[in-house]
Amino acid sequence: MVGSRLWRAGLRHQRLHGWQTVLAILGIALGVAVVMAVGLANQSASRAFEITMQQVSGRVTHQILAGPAGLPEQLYTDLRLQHPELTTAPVVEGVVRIRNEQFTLLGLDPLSEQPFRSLTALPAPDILTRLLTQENALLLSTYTAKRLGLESGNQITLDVAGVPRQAQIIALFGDQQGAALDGVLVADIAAAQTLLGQFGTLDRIDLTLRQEQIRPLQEWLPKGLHLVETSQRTAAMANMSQAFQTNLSAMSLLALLVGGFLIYNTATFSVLQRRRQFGIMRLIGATRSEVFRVILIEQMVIGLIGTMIGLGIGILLARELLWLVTRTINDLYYSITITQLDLSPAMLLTGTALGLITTLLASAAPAWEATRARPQSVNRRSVIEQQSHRALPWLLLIGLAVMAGGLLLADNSGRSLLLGFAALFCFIMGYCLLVPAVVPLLSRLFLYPVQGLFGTIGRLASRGIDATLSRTGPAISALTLAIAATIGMGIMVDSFRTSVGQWLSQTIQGDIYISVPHSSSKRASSPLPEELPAAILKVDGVREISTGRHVTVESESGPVNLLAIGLATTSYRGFKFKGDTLKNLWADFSSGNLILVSEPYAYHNQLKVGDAVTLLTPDGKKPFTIGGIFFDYGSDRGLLVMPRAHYAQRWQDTRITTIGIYLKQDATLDAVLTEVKKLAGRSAQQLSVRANKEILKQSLEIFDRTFTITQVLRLLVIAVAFVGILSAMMAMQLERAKEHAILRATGLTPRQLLGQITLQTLLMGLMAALLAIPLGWLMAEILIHVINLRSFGWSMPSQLSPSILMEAMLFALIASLLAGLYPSLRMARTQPALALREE
Amino acid sequence: MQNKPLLVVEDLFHSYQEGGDKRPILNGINLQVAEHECIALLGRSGSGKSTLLNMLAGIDTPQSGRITIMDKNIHDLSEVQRTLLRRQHIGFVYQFFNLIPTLNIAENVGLPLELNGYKEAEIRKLVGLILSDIGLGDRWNAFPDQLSGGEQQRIAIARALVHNPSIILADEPTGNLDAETGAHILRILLGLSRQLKRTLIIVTHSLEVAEKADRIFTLNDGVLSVQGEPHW
Amino acid sequence: MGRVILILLLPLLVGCQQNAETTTEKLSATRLLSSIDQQGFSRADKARAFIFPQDHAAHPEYRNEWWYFTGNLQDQSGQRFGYQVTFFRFALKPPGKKPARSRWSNNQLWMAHAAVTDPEGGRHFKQEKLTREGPGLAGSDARPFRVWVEDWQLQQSQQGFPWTIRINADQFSIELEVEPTIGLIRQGDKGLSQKSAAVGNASYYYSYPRLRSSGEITINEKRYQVTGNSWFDREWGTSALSSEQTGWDWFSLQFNSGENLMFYHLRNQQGEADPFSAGTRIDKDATTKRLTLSDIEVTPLTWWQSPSGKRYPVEWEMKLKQENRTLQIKSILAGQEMDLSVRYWEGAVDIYEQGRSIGSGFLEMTGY
Repeated sequence: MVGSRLWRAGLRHQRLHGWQTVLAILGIALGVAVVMAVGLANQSASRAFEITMQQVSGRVTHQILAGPAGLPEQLYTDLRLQHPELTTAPVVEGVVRIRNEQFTLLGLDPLSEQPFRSLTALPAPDILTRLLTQENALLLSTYTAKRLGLESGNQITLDVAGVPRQAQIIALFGDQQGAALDGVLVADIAAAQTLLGQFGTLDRIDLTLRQEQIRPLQEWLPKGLHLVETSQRTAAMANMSQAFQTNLSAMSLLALLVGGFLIYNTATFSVLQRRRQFGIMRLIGATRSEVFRVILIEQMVIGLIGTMIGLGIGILLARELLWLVTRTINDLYYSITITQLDLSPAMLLTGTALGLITTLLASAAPAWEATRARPQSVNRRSVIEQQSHRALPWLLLIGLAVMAGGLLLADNSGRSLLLGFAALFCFIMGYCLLVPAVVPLLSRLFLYPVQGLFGTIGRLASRGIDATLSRTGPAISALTLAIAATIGMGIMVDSFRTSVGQWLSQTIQGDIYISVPHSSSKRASSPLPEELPAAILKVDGVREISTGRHVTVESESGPVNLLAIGLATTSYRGFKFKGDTLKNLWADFSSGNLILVSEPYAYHNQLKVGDAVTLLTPDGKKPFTIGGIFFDYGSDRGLLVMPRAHYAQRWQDTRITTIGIYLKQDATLDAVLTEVKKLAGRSAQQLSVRANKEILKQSLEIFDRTFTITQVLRLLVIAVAFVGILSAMMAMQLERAKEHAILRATGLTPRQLLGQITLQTLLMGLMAALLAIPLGWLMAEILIHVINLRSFGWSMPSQLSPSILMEAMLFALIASLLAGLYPSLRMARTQPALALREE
Repeated sequence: MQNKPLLVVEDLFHSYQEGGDKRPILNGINLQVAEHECIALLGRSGSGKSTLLNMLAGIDTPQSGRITIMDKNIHDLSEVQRTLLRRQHIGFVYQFFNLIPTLNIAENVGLPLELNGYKEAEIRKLVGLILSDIGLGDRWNAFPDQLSGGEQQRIAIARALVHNPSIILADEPTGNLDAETGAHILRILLGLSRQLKRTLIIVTHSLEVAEKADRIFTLNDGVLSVQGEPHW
Repeated sequence: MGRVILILLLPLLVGCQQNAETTTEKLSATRLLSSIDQQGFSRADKARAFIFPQDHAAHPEYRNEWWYFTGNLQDQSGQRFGYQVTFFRFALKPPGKKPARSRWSNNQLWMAHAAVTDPEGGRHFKQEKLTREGPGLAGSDARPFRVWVEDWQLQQSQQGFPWTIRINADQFSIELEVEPTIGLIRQGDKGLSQKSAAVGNASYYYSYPRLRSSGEITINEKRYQVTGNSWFDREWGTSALSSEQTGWDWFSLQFNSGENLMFYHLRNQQGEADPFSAGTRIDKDATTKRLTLSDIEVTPLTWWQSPSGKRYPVEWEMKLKQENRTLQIKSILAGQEMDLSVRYWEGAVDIYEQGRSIGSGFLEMTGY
């Protein structure tokens, strides 16, 4: 039986130490808020993807796909006439832009749509007639229309691969409240072909197949065509962003971990302060479990309040994070628009559970410790310190073991991202356990210099840390973790950026590049005018050009990006290979025998040099041998490279997508650039002509943009950490009010006391910062070599940037300084007698 | 020895680890305490008086020997059972009062009753009675830090007696008080325990205090010796 | 025999898609006719000379068009069957001056209906196909003459006749060779069939009133070798009925004597016969005689309620006034409703005179 008097004692204690309670609540609230915000943003993104897929794919079970050229529409006719029993629908799909925003233009045949989608279900027959007959009629979702300020009947200008085209919105679909399909324009298949200028071909045929229909259809299909399962393809697409989303979640968990430490800290203090009280309760006859329960439930109430506040903040924060997540997914993976935050009960429940479990774990240890002590030792403070010092070797051992376990796990968990994160968290936890064991060592190390500099005050400050290890230990651990998290994330992003920068400057060998800004096809980038290469070669100052064609081809594991390049003499320098390549690489490459694959592609598909990649060509499936694996940070989905001449012959596609221009030694960039721009201006299409420096700059801008979310998360972790440091330090110093009062009574001036307290918190901050540097660095190593590799398939060297370390150090010191200020000012203001009074 | 023993201590040994050495603190203690008896335990600081008392209360366990309280060998009891035994049958008064600072006086006194499962109305009644017995019936809502030392110790005595325990253990109850207040406290403690017919074991280093007991023992070098006979 | 139901199909499409399971109330033909834009289409406003085989194929400059087979068949054991095979063409828009580059944008919708009646088994099977012309999903050719909606098709042989009808539906199939025993008949005024007062509210209409038919019918995998007579109606135009005309009862009768009779009975909103109701008598030797409302009077005798809730007269009395004859026309099975995108009743009938069977034919009823 847990009595109301035990409760009341706890409640009054919290009221008396309100600041401590508030900081504990704040800590858990912020931790939960970050996790919730990321979770909600992630979930909303996934949900938006799901909804988009549901509406776009509908009840499609399979799709027939072809290579970059699309599939001839006659094939659909043949299929209908020869296999009338199959449920099929033709689809033309392209990419257009409205006011610089990208949309998928879906060309459907409303008459074949009924078994699949409800996009062309229209309220009035005359609208269907118009959809079928008007060459530029579009349907838009109600949501999108509202967002763009458009109404049915409006004329809009579509940018189709740089060419403007007029279209008219004839009706809206979907209601505004429900989950909306955004980023999609629906047109009749004829209108889509006309708008995209894509006549005679389809992008795919959608089917709803029964199991027994699959084989006959596969046998019927001509070579060069591919029957794929939609669910697999959708899953593969969802997988693309999975690693990114997992990373975000893990980063947010780091914030919760810091928040958890905060709870642990405050719970420990709260319990330590009342050790004697709990002892008395035990003496009077309260059982261990009664006391344990009282403490735990009291902490859980704090956790619950913190969690609830955290949920609220999390939802607000999620609204802000949402567009960052969406933007990154749109930049890197696929196009989605999120219409609303998906406040699923499951997610809210998970957040609550995480907050409460963290609180439970964090406060169970101090609560257990409070009841473990024999009641007779209530009056002996030294016993506690003795115990905590006695525990140090164990902590050291356990910490080292957990760290080693983490490293072992990292080494032996193969390619699993989740286990990678588990290893990272193990490692971090182990290190945090280690910290208290190192603190006495450090404080002894600091003792003499500090004593030398500040005299007795310095000695008091330094000795105090060791003497009250039960309190300073966890506080410094929490601090270390917080600072290390910022260091680790900082180094990771910094190393990444440096690698990308180096890679870009190496890859971009040409001086000027020409391309079409956007493509109207999802399978291939828009081709450049045919006569352009010849015209450019005639420009004065141009030594030679390289040409490229970007397409998406079907491989056995789904669609893959292929770059067919016509190399200039120096182009090969743009490739930096990972490990060995086959012999005579470039000779064999230009003969068309080999392909090159990017590192992420090799990693994800577990390929090595000499293996084969099977691609679907117009003549059926063909294996290509991998000649080398090159570094490429352009896409985490991977890239294949083959000679353009070979591609053109195999795929019967001689078009080119990019031209790289190499200048003569004596040519001036500006003159050639002007001339090339003039040439490009003659094209009906809008072409992009850029010098390599500009590309470099723009690419890094995109990089920074996609990492904004990581930076924001890092800031959030820092914010939680800051509150953590503040609360840990303040709790500690305020808890020692009596000791300070004795010092004051013994003759320390308020200034001296202020100095002593500040010095002590600064020392702790310094220790934490010093301890955080190796942890942060090791975290970065794990993030880069384990997490990044497993998430994206990218390997890169880590880069230890001094500025990040300085930043962390500064941050730790400022936070400790601020944390020491309040208790010391308060002490300086109060009468020592008051604090000395027996409670 | 007109009553049957309530508490039996047999061959109690205990030592403390001090650096590398073992310092024996209880060296074969034998003691029988009858119902309603009042016993004083004399000894210098560090002689092991408090240790012995803690063992009698079941909050410390001897390295060897037996303690039987109300026919129960406390070695045979689990931690929880020992706690329950203490909760129901033992009242403890300390030198440093050990009141819970965040509970007011009535709540402090009512705590043992609540732990023993008394109803709230009953608790109020019993707390009221005992508070007026000790002369603090008007200070219900005061918090410990608003009271003088003597008042705090009176509250502690009230808390030790309120649930009507069979045995009251007092560890230097006057050690932290001036002589006059101490005497007053002692009067209350002895008076109440006699009035309620409780067994009282009082640890003290004051002969003056000890003389009020039925029997006096001295603990010296871990050995218990009888110092006086009952004076009635 | 003109069947104007085709116009219904647009709203039905919509209806179907709004809710695939519970198709909304199907609209009546005549109400829709007026709602569809006729601008830009050619109109059947004067008689024309038919040229074959060109005129067998589609006329996209007119809005609607159909190829309509009905017939009564029996197998060697004498088991009777009725069948219907119809190809409809419907233009959403008049063809432009120059062809669009996308083959999907030819604005032609095609629909095919097929049905088989097994009166002994009390079974009636029906199925529909609907598609746009697109890149050859449906259409017609003149040389050799061919009409198809996906895999359902009508095709002439190298010598011209016989024509082959090939329908492969889920539960049944029809494979017939048909050859006329009476030559081509121009209906109405030299092939111009006026349906209501306004100029152009008419269609071009010709028929093969009797085609010797033989082939195979399959019902649920069971094959029947069948022979019998078919009737072929061919009609195209842009508009036909006026807004007062709500439906029709269309008789195509083949007498055992070798004579044939077509009569369409147009009804107004009050259910009364419209003055534009008309018909044709065709003798064995292909001589024709035009009939008007003053020549023929039809009266419903027995009604049947379909599962869809509609009531249709499935037994009629037909008075041939000049000859002073009274015929009873009875469906061989009451349940021959075509409850497809367009709902109507179309079924095989027997002709009786004074209790004696004197022939068989087909009856179509809409607007009920």
